[in-house]
Amino acid sequence: MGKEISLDCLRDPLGAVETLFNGASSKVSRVSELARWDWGVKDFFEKFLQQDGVYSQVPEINSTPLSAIPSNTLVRFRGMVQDMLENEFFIGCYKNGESIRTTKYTDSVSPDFCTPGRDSVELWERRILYCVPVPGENHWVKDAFACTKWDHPSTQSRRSSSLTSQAEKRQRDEGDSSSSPDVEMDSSSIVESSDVKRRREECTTSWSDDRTSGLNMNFPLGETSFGPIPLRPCIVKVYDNADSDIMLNDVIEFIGIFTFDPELSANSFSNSEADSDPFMEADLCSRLPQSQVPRIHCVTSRKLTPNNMISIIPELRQKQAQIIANPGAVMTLRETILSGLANLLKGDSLAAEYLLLHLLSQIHKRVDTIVLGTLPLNIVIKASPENSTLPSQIAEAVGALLPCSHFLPLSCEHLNKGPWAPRKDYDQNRLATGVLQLAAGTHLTLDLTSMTEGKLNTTGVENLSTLRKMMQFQTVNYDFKFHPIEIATDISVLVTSNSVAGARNFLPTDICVVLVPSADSSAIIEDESLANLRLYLSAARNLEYNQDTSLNPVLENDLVECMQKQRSIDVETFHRWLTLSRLLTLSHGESQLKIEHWKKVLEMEKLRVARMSH
Amino acid sequence: MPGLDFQGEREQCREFLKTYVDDYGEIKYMNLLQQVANRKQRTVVIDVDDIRGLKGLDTSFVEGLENNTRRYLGLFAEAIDELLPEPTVPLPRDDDFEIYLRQRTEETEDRTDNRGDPQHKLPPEIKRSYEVHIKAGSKEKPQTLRDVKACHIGKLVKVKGIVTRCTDVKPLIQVAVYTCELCGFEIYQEVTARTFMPLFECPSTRCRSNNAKGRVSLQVRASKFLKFQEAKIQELAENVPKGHIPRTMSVHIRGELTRQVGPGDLVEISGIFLPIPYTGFRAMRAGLVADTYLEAMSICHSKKRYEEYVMDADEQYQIEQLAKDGDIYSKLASSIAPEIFGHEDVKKALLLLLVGGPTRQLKDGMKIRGDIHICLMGDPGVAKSQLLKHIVSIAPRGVYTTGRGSSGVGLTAAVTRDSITNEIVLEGGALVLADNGICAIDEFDKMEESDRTAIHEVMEQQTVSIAKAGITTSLNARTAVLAAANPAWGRYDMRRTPAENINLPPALLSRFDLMWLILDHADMDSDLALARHVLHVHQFSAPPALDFTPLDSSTLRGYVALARRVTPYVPEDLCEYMASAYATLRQEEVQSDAPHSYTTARTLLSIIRVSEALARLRFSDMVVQSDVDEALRLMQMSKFSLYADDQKKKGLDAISDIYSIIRDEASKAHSLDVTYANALNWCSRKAYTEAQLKECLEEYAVLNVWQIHPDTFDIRFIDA
Repeated sequence: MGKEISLDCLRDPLGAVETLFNGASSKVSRVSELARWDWGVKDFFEKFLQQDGVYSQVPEINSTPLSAIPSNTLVRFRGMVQDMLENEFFIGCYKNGESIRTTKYTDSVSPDFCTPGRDSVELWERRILYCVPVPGENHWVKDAFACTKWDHPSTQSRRSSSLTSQAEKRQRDEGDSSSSPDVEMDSSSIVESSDVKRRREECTTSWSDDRTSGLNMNFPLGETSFGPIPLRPCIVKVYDNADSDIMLNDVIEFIGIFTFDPELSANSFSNSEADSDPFMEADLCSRLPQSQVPRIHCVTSRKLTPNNMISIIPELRQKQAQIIANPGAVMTLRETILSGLANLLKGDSLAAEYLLLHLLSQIHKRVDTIVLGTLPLNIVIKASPENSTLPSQIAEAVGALLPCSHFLPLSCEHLNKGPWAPRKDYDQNRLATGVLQLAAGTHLTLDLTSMTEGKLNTTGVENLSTLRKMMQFQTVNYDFKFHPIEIATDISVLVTSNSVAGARNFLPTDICVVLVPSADSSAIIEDESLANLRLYLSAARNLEYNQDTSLNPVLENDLVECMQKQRSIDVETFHRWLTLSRLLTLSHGESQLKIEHWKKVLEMEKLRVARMSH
Repeated sequence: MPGLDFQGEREQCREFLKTYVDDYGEIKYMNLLQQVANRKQRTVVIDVDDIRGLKGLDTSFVEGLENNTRRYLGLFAEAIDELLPEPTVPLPRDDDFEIYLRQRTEETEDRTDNRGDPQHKLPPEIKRSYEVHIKAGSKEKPQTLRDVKACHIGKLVKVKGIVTRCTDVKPLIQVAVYTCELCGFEIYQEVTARTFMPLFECPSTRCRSNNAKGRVSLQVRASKFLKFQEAKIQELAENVPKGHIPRTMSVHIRGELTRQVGPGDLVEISGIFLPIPYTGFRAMRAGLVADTYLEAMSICHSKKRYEEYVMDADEQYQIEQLAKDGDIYSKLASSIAPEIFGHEDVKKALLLLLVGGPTRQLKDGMKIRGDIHICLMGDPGVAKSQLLKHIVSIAPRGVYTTGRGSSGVGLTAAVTRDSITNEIVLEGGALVLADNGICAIDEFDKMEESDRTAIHEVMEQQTVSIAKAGITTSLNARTAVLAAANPAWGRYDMRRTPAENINLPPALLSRFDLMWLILDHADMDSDLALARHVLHVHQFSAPPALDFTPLDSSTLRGYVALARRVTPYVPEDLCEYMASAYATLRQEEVQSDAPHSYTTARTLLSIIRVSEALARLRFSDMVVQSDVDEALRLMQMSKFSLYADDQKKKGLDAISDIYSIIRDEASKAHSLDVTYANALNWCSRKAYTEAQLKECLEEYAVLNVWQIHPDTFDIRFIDA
């Protein structure tokens, strides 16, 4: 029986909603009470999704052509909350003759709806979120999610095959054909992955032309397509107050009901111009055509973070647990990644060590204005022709290892182009995005080597100061014209530059590693180990860390001693060292600070500082 | 609405209007109606407070009013129609409105044949020369936009927000009047929505029975229009939960309420929260969705000031308890930026800046400012900016800006041309915006030259004068300036004199009541403390527990607000004391070969101001000697922070310095006896601690220079 219901839920979730609603409405004495809870819809669908293989059958918006998804079916969508639109008031339920009907989870009205009298109508409220595909999300994450979804034949399709109906088969075939090139890419090397990035970059340029002609989709980084399928933002309608913890820039996987009414969408687009009054209205929802911005009525959702993004997939979660339980395996992986990074950085093992720690860094706590845990790193590369591609190579390697990353070459032209911090566009009544609207855990590689002489205009100066502020305090002020709104970020920044001082003038990077090449940069990390390395990184980032107070006297002594010796050592340095030792501990898969890690950090710092004075 | 009879309610409206007597014994609303009848007033504002205050009134009436406001608006209007008295003054007869009205009344009396036709009946709206507004109770707390939900539809709500946009004022047709070309009838069409379908055919019985299909034309002059403006308000930044975007709301403003708001205004609006009925295509698209707006009923601009700070009983009690507590001064001071380590005296000074002294207006019109200006100077990275920002966040009205403010308006004010209206507008800069508050200026040394000259005026006269583009005016800038500056060469250079390090002209410097130099000194103890602090932060993800619980900023704000209500005075007998202290300062300056400071009459004023602020902190309206001593100590400390190194150069250690102070003072008084209290006062004025004093006493007692009373510690010099 369960299977039949489950198939129904996929294709006709509204039917399930209706059943639940009818059950609920028969129980309550007054209609207004129906607004108070969701009649068990969320629980029902969550239970339904936990069934074997069901989750994977729900089509995902951004890896399936929209035309393949029929209206009023269950879909998945992974996106970042880019904007929060005004709440929508809608007629939640109405009396139709004797029966009570609901319009929750849908946009269209059943044909028997006639304008009811005022007293038989209940106005309810829903939250409207404008979500964009996660900016900077790397292809392997997309693949990982696509894979579980489509149950790639080679892995585990057998399990779910018993469930397949005709409709699913069709969908799956389409999905397979569209995502297969990307699946292959998964097993390709980083060099190949650069193609994807480059392709994406090309898309960006061509897309920005689109922007002038058509609709601004507000993608922070302007990535418009993944493989052959264009990436789409979604308007997600969230019900009840279960969502109250959804915040701006959260990455969320929504499961909801996809609604698409071609008739309405065609009308609205042409129409909004017609009865637009000069300023107000122009309600955003009506301006974005449904064909480009799908509507989803969310039934349940879960938050994704860069740390749980991988482990949310069951198979990977198991694998990860195995790795972390085995200290030997952790050490091997640590060695692998270090040698890989060292190869990339022309044989510089110190820089590789720092880069590894940098990849593990994330905010673990904010204490007043101090941000703990970040490690902005500056790799100083000697300017030479053969080094010119190194920054982008580093960025690619980072992209292969971390879920979300972006490579941002800095140039006057780029800085002057437009505000990087998001700002409220009161004409459009939406939050216009900027490069710095990124989800927590996104990695940003800033390439200063591409900087040339030029003049910064006001925008450029503001962008630079926004960038500086973000690196220092991990907050970005969103410009609401009348007052800024401070939004907390968690973005790790890696800077590549040609000189120590050059970078310092621009950006507050306290850790400068001067690259000392000893070999040519060579083939980097073997592909089969890549998957494991990703698991290793995310596992290390997830580890609980605590610092025993028993080591305090040693640490205090060391700190004061260094301070007495050298006046330039200040509070920042202390913070840095403690952060480094924390990360070093985590990189060993341990959660307790050991004295040797601390000594190693001091040693590393000594070496690093010595390099800088050369 | 069927099933509900509003007759009773209408009766109650009438009763209320007729009988309500306000606090002054006036029949408020009937007087108002008389004004309306005389065409002196155009609005009738029904205050919910008044209805609530009326005895013997059904509570369900108020409830109904608040929950179904639109309906009651109509009921009140009908009641007013009935009650409207005859004008007591002759009305201008040549007014368009009057002429039409007269003609119409005559006409309707003539043509009795069309009585039954609704479109021929004169709608009450067209006769009304007033608007009715229902104002929400003043005691109600304004809601945040976020809290206005579906359940508030139709209800009277009060919200606070910032106006982000507003349209021009446009006419909105309220009653469309047509005349028929054939039969000459006037046809009235009431318009309630924003769009309406014009009539094309004459519906009169005569045309219809003649089957003439008379063409009608809209009479613009006869129709009634209403001023109409739309605005958008946005949630205030402080009401937005972390990680959210401020909500907005459309506001419809009609009639006399228009032209009251402009973008950027902070307003409190009470109004009716209503859905917009969709029409035409939109209704089809929207299906079941409704847009909402707020029909404004009253608009009031809100400005936060200390004087208007309203405290609830709880807070008041808490603060009174605090005041009774002994060491409130240092407790409050340490609650300023508790996460910043040390700097007790700087924090004390900042607390005094928040409190300020009373501004005095002399009989001859001269004003003596009460605001205390402070300048913080110091090496980069000593938390100057954090202190500034914290102060701004505590003050109800604080503006933080940098010397090179990003806005073109700068610090003072500018005359600009509005891009849309092309009118010349005066735009206030940071200092004007901070009127009655605090203006924190970072990077004071990097200020534009033009602003720097203007700031002289601001800091003493507290006005900004403008003579540009045909506008000559003077804007108030009663603000306390808190400046932070870097030394001339980025870092404080010990080899140079302080005057060289401070890159500011003396004229500007003398305007600061207190100057503070925060240097980055090396010393083992503080290093260790710092190391411990950092370690703790990393271990427990929290700053180490302070040895006191800092007061939260709202309590601090409340305390300061209460303190500012006190206006202390300096008693006669203290004047002498102050005068002598001032004289001593002047004397010292003359004596020293390289004067560091400019002790002027301003210094004396500063002493008074700081003492007064200290008295305010005790909620006392009288300055006592200890206030003056503390004021002197702070001034000494601030100087001391600048010249600490000079002291060392002189080779005078603290102990011998204290000795010389006591000796000098004693010889001045020609006495061999010095009370301990006096000695302590002198020392603290020179910024020495009690511990140092005791040490000194002991040391010299051993040398048999003086004797110390074992209980009172009073000093008696041994006459040698």
